[in-house]
Amino acid sequence: MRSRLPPTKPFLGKKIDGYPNHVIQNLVGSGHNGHVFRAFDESTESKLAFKVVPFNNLAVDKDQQQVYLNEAKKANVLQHPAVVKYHNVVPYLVPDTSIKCVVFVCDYVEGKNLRDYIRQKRSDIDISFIEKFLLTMFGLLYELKQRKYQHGDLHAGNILVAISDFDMDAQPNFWVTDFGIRELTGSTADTNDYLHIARILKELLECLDYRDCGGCDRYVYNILKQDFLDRHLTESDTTIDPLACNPRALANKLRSLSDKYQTTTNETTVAKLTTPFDYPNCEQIGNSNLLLKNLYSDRLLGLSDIQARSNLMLTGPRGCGKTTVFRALSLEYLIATNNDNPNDINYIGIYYRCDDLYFSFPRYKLPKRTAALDVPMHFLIVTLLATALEQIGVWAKKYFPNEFKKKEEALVADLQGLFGWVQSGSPSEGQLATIVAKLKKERKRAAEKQRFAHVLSQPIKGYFEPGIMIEACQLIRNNFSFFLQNRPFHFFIDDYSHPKITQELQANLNRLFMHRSADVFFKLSTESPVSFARHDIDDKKFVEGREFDFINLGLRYITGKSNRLLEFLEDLFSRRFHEVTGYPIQTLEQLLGSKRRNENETARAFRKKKDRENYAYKETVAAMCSGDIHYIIRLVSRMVDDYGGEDALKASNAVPRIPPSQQHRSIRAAAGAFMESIRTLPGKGPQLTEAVTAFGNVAHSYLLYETSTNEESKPPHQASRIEPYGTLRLSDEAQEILNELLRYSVLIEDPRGKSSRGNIVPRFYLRRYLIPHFHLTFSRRDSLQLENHQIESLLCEPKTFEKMMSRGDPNQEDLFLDE
Amino acid sequence: MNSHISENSLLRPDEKLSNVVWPSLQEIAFPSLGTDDCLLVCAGFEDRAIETLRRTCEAGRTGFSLGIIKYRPRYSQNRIEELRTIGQSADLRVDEFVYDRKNPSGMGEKLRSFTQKQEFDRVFIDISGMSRLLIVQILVALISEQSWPISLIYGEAEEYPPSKDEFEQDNKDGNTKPAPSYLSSGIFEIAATPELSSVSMLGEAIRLVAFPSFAHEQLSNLIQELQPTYTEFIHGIPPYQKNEWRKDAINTLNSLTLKELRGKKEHNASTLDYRETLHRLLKIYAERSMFDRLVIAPTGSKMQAVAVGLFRSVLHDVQIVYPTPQTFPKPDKYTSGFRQLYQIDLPTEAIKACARSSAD
Repeated sequence: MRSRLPPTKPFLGKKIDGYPNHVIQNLVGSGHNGHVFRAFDESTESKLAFKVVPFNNLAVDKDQQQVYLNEAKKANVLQHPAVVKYHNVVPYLVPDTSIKCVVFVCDYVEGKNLRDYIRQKRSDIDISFIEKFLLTMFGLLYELKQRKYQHGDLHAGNILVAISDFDMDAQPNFWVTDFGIRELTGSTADTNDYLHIARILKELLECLDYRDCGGCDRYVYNILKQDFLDRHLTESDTTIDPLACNPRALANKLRSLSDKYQTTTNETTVAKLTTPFDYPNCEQIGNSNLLLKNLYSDRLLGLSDIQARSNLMLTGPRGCGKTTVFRALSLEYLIATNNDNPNDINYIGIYYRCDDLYFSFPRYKLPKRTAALDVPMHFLIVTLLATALEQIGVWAKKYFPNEFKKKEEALVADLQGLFGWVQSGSPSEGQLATIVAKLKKERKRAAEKQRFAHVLSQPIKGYFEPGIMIEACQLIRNNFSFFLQNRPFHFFIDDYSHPKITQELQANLNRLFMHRSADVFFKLSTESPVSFARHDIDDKKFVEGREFDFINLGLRYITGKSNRLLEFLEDLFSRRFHEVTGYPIQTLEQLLGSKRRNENETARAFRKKKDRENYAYKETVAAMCSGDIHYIIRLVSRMVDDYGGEDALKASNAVPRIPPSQQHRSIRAAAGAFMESIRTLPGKGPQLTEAVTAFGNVAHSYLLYETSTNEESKPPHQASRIEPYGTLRLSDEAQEILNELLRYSVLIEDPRGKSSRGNIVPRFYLRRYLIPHFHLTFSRRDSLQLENHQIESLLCEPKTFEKMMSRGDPNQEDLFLDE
Repeated sequence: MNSHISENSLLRPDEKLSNVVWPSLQEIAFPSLGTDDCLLVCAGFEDRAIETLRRTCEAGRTGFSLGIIKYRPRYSQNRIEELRTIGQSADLRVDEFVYDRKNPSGMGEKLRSFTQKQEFDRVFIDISGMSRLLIVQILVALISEQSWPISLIYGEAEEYPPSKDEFEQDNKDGNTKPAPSYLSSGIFEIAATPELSSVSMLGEAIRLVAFPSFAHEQLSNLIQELQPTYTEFIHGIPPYQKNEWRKDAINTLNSLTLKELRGKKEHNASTLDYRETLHRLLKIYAERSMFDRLVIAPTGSKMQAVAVGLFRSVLHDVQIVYPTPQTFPKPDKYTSGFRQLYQIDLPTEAIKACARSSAD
């Protein structure tokens, strides 16, 4: 058939009967049966498509123009907007030849056919493109079914992908041509339109790399492959598959896939607790936002400061709830838990966990060439923007669908302009989902480029500087001003901690995170004050109170009012007890009882070696908390286990249910186990254990043999913190060990301590969880006041320190020589 | 059902990988290296680290290329000198590479560029003395680009530490000492390398797949550092009956960590037949890759690390991490003796075909 096609050149510049002003300008494409030309009328600036088919390629008798017209009319009856309409059918003799043809005059659609599109723009095809294609086709098939008509020759060559820069409404961007051509050309190939669509679907799915798709797209891919391709579109027996040849049902199923994914995800994520102590930390809860909602207590200390309009550095021991609070303040969580009413949303919270950065930029070092600096910055920016746009899209479609629809394309165009991205002409280009997918692809580009950042022959171009992020956020807010005007962005960046996120990577990214602006704020959580680099790549120092606020949750819990802490823990445990149906305990007090702690009395009891329950009741559990809620949950869990578990709790009505003596034993054992876990920490675990043991033992000896000063009642000396006499100056080795103790929150730093000599010095609190291990009290009155060389010794030669500093008898003096 | 669609039905890369006919381990006396072949071997301190080279040269094979991988930090017991001596006596072309366990990035690429430049007929990789992370790195780097055949050589040791008596002695009831870690101790870091990293599944929950072992600190540190939402453990089943006790022993040793985890799944797979682990991983991928961010820590046997390497050479959306040990025990506390040499001729072309996406 193709061999019968006439040469194309004689057509150019020519006109056909009935269209005196339309000049054939160029060949658009050639198929098996004919050529398609673009004809243009300058006087009206109108375009038409002339499909030229030689008589020899037509099955019906020659010269029966009416037959052709009838076929064309059939297509024109169709109302679906994707149908390319016929204007006329005109016989035509190719100039200077004897070749007779028929010219089908049709609407001209600016664009290219799907076959060429797949060939040329393969990487622009994504799941939303395929979904849009299928929905258009199902709409068309629906009408064809109602009219008992079929196209009969659907293939990627006669489906057009429309390119319009001015498409404001919902016109379809896929168009179908060549209705009736099959009848006219007498093609004997399979006529089932569903099979043809299946074939095109396969071609489209082959354009995707499953491994690069996001979760929902993977799910849709699998359903399209397993259900649509292998069943619905290829099965014609409706008794075997009710969706076969049922375009409405197919469209409905396709539209429901995103929701189905969400439902399936929820079904497979953790949904409820089997004991009140399951999932003690937020990461284990995973994406189960509903469970998080039930377990999250808004009595968390420091919450209002975290939500303030400022950049923030949040620290605290592992398990102190940093992740929980960050996630609970994110838009994603609020949407998932139906707490996303616009009246209650004061800012757009976007959660990001830095594991993702660590995986792509492990052991990051600053590159020698400046251009490479922006590679991780680019990775971060595209990631945060993709997440933000995704969440805003979901939220806005729910509450502001019209405003969202009005502005979606404009925003996408603005962002493309800002990023310097060339428009692809994809039908789904104006959608937020498409730019999100594109941003996610950029993540891969940046991560792969980083591997070769040091190779000078590798060009580095098109990576975003920090300013792009701020500008992009402004564009989002400007375009969506209807619902974002008074809502700044809060980016919650979780676990931004050295050494995973190296100091050099932090210095690089701090160019963005420490940027001060009116409506974009970065809230960073880091595991300790020493795991955050307070500078940028130009060694600009960032100052607390100027570039960022600083909250150490550990310190808040240690120095905060004990009743607020207790209230928080009681709320937290009540939520957990209530979450397990039929659990025999409903409150912490029921379980552990209540007794106000008297630390002086406890200390005196230690001196008298009285065998009593020094560590029991809910007040003790609260006192042991340095913000490390995760450990407190595990501690209470351990108490229940040691007591005999849920069955034992059910078997008694006593209050407290767990006897104080049992509580005391469990607490001591848990504290001991924690000491052991320090030993197995990566790196300097054993050294940390020795240092903290030396401190604990010396503090205990002080409790036994020293008296607290400035107290009339002469209580025993009760130190659980180190207080340097003066400015701390340590060797590198000692500083490294101190940093590790702080990193793992074995010690918790209060940077604004005041020494007995009146200096502002950092003080170091022993983690409260360890206090029972060393037979200390929770009193915050005394400190172990140490000179620099003593602290040096404690850290580097802990056994010597212990020997020298321990109070074996009341008359023993400090054996260190002053330096 | 219309056959022309289903016949050419679309397969995901993992499905293609699953359809590959994976060869079994072939017992060999020595690998048949020709003069245009290359042997990559690691200078570890175990007996089996030198056994492949020694046997090959004793069988009269000479003139081939030898790539020796030296470890950093260095252990004086590493058998680098023995490898060099054997290489010199057999008139081999020797190249040496340094593998820094504490900075492992890029090692696969180094070896790939070496093998590419030399255009060998076949590359033999002796994994007997190789770090598990390095096994994965080499397989991913070489399979993805290599156009020539690759064979794996694995020397099985006679004895694996600890002995049953030693373990029982150390873990008697009432023993209050901390549980010893047998294969290594301490954790330097949870290593990730850019070439084994993935940017896929942004924001999704982490599903960690790990292999409990006698180095229990590896598992506890993985959990501590990654805080995975879901965990899947593949327990190694030793090939010989006399070692069957090891599975329960490993469970006992890791019980503290395992006990605390909710929502974990547990599986069994041979420590020797890599195919069991590979198919297990593929099943996990098929079921969970659309919901979770998969992270695999190849902490099991060396052959299980081979399975991870083959898997990751195709599924680049999976993240690999490895808890790098701080120190290793003295050589007399490690594997000893030599039991059997195995060879696997990898179906390289078939694997590469799986890795190629239709989108490429």
